[in-house]
Amino acid sequence: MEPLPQKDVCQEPVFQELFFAHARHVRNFLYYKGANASESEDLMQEAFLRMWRDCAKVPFEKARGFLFAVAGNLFLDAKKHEQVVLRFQRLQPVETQEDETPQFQLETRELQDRLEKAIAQLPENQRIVFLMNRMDKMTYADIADHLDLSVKAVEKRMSKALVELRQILKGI
Amino acid sequence: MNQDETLLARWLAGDLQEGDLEALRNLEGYPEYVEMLEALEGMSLPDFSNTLSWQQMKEKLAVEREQSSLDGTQSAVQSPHLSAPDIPLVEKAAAVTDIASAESRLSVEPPIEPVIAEPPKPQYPSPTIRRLVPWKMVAGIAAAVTLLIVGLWWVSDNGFGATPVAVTKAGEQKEVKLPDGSSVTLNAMSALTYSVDDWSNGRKVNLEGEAYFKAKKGKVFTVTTEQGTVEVVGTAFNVFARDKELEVKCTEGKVQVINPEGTERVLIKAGEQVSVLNGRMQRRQGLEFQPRWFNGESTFRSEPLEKVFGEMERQYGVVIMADSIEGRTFSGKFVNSDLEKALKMVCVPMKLKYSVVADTVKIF
Repeated sequence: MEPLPQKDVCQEPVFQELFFAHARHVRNFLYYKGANASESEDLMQEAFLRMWRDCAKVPFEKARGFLFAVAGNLFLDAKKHEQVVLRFQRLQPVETQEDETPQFQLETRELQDRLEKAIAQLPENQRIVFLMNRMDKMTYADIADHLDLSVKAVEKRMSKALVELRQILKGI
Repeated sequence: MNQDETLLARWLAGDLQEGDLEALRNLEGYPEYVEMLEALEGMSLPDFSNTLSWQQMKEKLAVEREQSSLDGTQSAVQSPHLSAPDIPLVEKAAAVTDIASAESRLSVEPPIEPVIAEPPKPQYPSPTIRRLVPWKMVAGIAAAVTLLIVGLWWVSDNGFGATPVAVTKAGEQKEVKLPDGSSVTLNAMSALTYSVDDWSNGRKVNLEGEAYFKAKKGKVFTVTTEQGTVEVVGTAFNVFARDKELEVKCTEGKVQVINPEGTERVLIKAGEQVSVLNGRMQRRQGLEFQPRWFNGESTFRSEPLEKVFGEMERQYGVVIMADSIEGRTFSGKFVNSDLEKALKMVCVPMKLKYSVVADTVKIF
């Protein structure tokens, strides 16, 4: 049996495939860590650039791990310990819902504002796992894979995040 | 407690087991958890476009290739879009193929590129003396052509200062990289100019129309429009400058907006916008928005209908005739890819009718 031909990260189509598969998640990961929108995109691209430079040394199946690790390091170099500020967008309801009173909408808005602050106050490892699940819609197994954790650890962080969020919300 | 923890995780994963539902109902704080998760569903991350980001990435890769092929020479790295004006033809040919290959299939081999043997240094373009004795004639002509082109290049470059221009037609959008790495995305029917020569004296661009800027941190970055001036240090912001109106939305950092007379200045932060209409400045605060037109949507918040249809004209290259819409405002959005759909998205909530004949739309 011959081994399957290895996908070569130095080939641009392969590189592009990796970009389209992982760019958004790497960028979100950086955003969850506390980089703002433009910083997180810049750092993400920088991580890809590093991979391009080192492409000969990065096997295809290690690319994702490489990207997340490099992105994490780039973030540490760039940001040190600044306060995390998150800015989520509020989705407009697609159809104007008749049954949603202005009062209800106001309450939702208000809760969203508090939630945004509360999430920023979560410990980093809980915040990343929680948002990867809720925002990137990744399964626990996926998250475990991305962050090199056990599924058990991911589950634990998820529950902890939820419990903690409720506590923080009470104080906001 | 431990039981609760795995229970919550299972619930969040949509993976409840028998008896879990009962346990959940009795769990302290369960209604609040539900509320939290619902609120979170209505929130999303700042915009990100794979395609736009890949465009930028490709340019960074091209720069990377160029740099490694230039092997440490300090020449200014030009982005593919703006590469034309100040590269003499001898190297331009090389540069063009370089970019072409960079755009299509960047490199098959690692980024060391021994294509250009002589160090290309645009500042001192000397007509190279070729030692191709049997081809004296050819060499002579080549040298003459080179000289001529170099001469032309010299005149154009040192004469009036080349101003690279990016212009978009109706329905078109274009992304431009500036020499400092800042990026500008032009919306339909807009024009951006700047002077390469003056760039080292300050980051200054001129805009007609609408564009989204991502300015790299650094010295003051100035956007001049007929309707007023915008100054930033390093931030992301949207500028709309058409007719009598200048509207600036800040999505990151801080932005200073100055009226045309230079008599008034307003500093806005992320999430704020300022309008200069007929020289009068008006600030709007506490807005949660991201300009979305580069994601294929035009969004409006209490904007006059004339402005909404004006944008539709630019996105679709049509003429829109509408009477009796004066004084009415619109909040919402329309798509930039399907005229019929776009018209519905505006006309249905506004209780307007429309008809489309060729490139003309009538609203009534």
